[in-house]
Amino acid sequence: MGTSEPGAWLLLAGATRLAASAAGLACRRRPGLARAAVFGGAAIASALTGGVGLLGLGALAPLRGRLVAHEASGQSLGYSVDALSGFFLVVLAILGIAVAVYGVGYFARSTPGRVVFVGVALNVLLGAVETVLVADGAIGFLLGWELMTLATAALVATEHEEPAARRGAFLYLALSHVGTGGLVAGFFLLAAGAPSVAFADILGPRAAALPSRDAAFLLFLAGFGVKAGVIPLHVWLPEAHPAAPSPISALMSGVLIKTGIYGVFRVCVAGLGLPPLAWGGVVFALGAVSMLLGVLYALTQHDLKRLLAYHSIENVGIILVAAGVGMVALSLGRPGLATLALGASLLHVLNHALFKGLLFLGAGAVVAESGTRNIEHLGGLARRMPWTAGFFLLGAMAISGLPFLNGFVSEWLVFQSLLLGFHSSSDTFVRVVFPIGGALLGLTTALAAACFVKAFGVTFLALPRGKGAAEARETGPLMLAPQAGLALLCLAIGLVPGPIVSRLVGLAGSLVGAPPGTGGLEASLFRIAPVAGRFDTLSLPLAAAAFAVSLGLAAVLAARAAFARRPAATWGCGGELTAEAEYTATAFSKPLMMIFGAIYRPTREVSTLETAPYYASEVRYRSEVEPTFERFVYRPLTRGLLTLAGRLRVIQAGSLHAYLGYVMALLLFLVVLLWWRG
Amino acid sequence: MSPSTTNVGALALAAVAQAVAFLLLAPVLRGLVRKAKAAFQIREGPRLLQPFFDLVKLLGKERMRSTTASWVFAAGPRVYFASMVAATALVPAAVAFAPLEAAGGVLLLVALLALGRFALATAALDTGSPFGGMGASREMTVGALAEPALMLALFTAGLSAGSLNLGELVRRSAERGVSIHPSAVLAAAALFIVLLAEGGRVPVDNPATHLELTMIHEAMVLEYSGADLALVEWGSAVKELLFLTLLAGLFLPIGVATSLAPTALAVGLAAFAAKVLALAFLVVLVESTNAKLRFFRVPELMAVALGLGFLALAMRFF
Repeated sequence: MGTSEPGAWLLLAGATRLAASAAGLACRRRPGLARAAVFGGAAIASALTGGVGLLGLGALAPLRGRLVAHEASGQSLGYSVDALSGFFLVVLAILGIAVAVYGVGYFARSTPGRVVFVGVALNVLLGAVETVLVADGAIGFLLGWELMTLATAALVATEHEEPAARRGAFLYLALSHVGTGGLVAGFFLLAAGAPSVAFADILGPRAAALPSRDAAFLLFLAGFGVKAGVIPLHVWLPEAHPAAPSPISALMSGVLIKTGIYGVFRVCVAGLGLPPLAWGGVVFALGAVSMLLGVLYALTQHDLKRLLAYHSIENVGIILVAAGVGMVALSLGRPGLATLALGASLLHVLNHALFKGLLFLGAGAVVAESGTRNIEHLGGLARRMPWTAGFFLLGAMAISGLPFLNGFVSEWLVFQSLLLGFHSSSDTFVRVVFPIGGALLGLTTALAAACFVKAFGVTFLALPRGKGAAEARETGPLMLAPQAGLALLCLAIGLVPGPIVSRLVGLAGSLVGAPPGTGGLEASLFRIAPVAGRFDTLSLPLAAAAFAVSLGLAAVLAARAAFARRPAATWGCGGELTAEAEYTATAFSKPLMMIFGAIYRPTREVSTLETAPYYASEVRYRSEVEPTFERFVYRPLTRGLLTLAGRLRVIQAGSLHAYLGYVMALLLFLVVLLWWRG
Repeated sequence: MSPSTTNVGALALAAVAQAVAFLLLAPVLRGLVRKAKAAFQIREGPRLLQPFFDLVKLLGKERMRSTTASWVFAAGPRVYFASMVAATALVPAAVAFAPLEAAGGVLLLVALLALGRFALATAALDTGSPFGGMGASREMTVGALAEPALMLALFTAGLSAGSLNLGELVRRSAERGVSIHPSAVLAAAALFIVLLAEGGRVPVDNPATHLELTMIHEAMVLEYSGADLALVEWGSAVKELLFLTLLAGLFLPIGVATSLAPTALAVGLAAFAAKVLALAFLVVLVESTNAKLRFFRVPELMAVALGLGFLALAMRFF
């Protein structure tokens, strides 16, 4: 095997992960060494697969080969790295390296046993995701998929003393298996009568001609939707993501849910032939619902990590809206528009991985230092943890879609595809649905900004509201460096998006087989613009220069009084200002909660506990948002399933004779079936 | 006059000139609005240039910085001011051409406004004063509801003209002349409501109120003083003029100069001044004849704007 062969690099990465895990287990009595081994190995292996990903991203034809072969049975596992796999591998590698480096610092205070457990599980998880991304057939894909689910569940249950972690892990396992069931059924539908289960054999033209391709589409969408956290299949996400250790949460929100998006692109967008209009419509609608409800539920959260988890649902929604626009454009025979929308979707995959990884790593530092995830007990951290605060602020601005950061670029592209689609199409569906999508995306972005003013402001600004926040200290360089790296990438894409955008739009074009020259975007270093007679252009370097000059003007104007600065305590209406007087996160989101009361259906309880002569001296306030999906969908569903299981107990009587009878009956049935069919 | 053929230096000069013009005219417009409001209340009102003198005075005064605040508090007004000033270069005023129209169109404009709002609202939480939090919460709430309405109104104008680039948009609508198509009227109405909300005007907010509990914008910037306050005030004045310019340019493209010939330029400047004054008078009229809405009635007003935006878009294309 030559060194240039990607298979060798993939195997080397796998071997590195195994060796790192073994080394970690071997030196579990020396925690420092074990940490360096497991996390260092994970970072090196991620760098290797990231390199393979770059090769795939640059290659014209998919890089194929065989990973493992079993001589006796003639079975083998192959890999195939095309641009799509390559792109996702790169995203995974960026976050994998960041999380591994961060982990060395983060787990410094954990027990050695836990360090080794997390390190080994992390290596297994990263290896499994890599397997999913490079698999060239259904078997490898499902093997990796299942391993990924199990490793994630183990990591969610890391802090298994906490009931919340156990519950999160269980919910994740249960729903993931329902999803995997959908995928298996989908692959069965596609593989019936095919020469093999390799993607080359079951996807593409053959699948396009299947009569059952609508059913296959729905099965795959449900299976991938569970993993991606699409509403209404999302209920595991806000339970499992916060329960995991923070670097693992970053990986889950940044990349793991994107494996669902990878699946949607691989199978639903490009694998089942030209998608009909209805498919695009379904994906679009699911995305629109997910983004709006995701951000609305995020607004009511006071648990920093749960809030970020709900924002993952929002961003998956944005990714799917763009994918839906692309599919609709494909079905209408508009390859240029389709590549623009799909490219926007892929860019948002990368962007979300970067800023959500950044935010979760920052939240991890806050939680580790202050000991609480409840932002109502935080505050004042910007003075105690200035670097973490700065990086978190950049992440918050990126996720709010503000200019000069990466989130704005992908949202700009999604808006372009929606509006350009509307402008250049006379299809009634497009004319009705796209403007609604545009308005909802605008609302979502604005609400996300409101949510992150709250999340950043209440966590990092003003006076500390609790002892943990008052005693927090800045974290070490190992935990800050990955945040700095991710923040720099967010800024780089936000300032000079041209190269990456044009590469991703090109990727989308090759994925859907758009004829060359029909690309939907002109991009250079300084400017990006959809190809459509001066429809719109964006030159972020130019805009940033204007902004920088204006910022300079502000400094010049204020220069005369620059040194005349008098520090004074904030006026507390006559009394001393304490942390109790500060606006809380509950209060901050209260107006929006009342305005969207029809969706939240909040319950509120106010009780006066003690009354001094003239005013209430102690009041207790409790407010809750109704968990609509849990209550109206999942609770009846689980209740029904349990009832059904109870009924089925009749045949599970424990009698050996009965079981032999069942086996006999099945055998007879199969014989009759064979005789009847053949 | 396409940006590729014009040289970069001239464009940069035009951008600076436009920004300076906005910075100088915005306080004057504020003074005019105050004078007109005073006239409605049968008062004399302050001098026309009083807002300008106030800014100059504030810029020279020391600033109070809360001992609980961090660097975020200091950065807020600067980012707010810079986003508004940078946004001026994206909007065509007297000439059917924006100096930096190559930088971006309506989406960049909306995003710059959002950046300014984000910066100020975040900074408001920094002193720990409950008024700051209250103002920030309300500002972000109103902003979240106004932004989709603003986008729909701008999209309607943009899609009618076939371009989201503001310069291109104004040139195409100037060619076509004033549209009395119902969709243009409805979109203009939606934009006008957003203007009232974003400018902190009655019936959404009262810029002259004295009770902190009822404030939105003023509560948010309550803790600022000296040069910090001057930047906030100046930025807000520029923002108001920006919205009026937008409304005038998109929906009343009368007299806009399409060339740099002296006569066209003179007509363009005169027409621009007349349009902005007329629209500002409309704002004064609304302010003087309406009472401020209860905060929880504001969403209804924003819903009206959003509904108008949808209707406008639907009417244009069905």
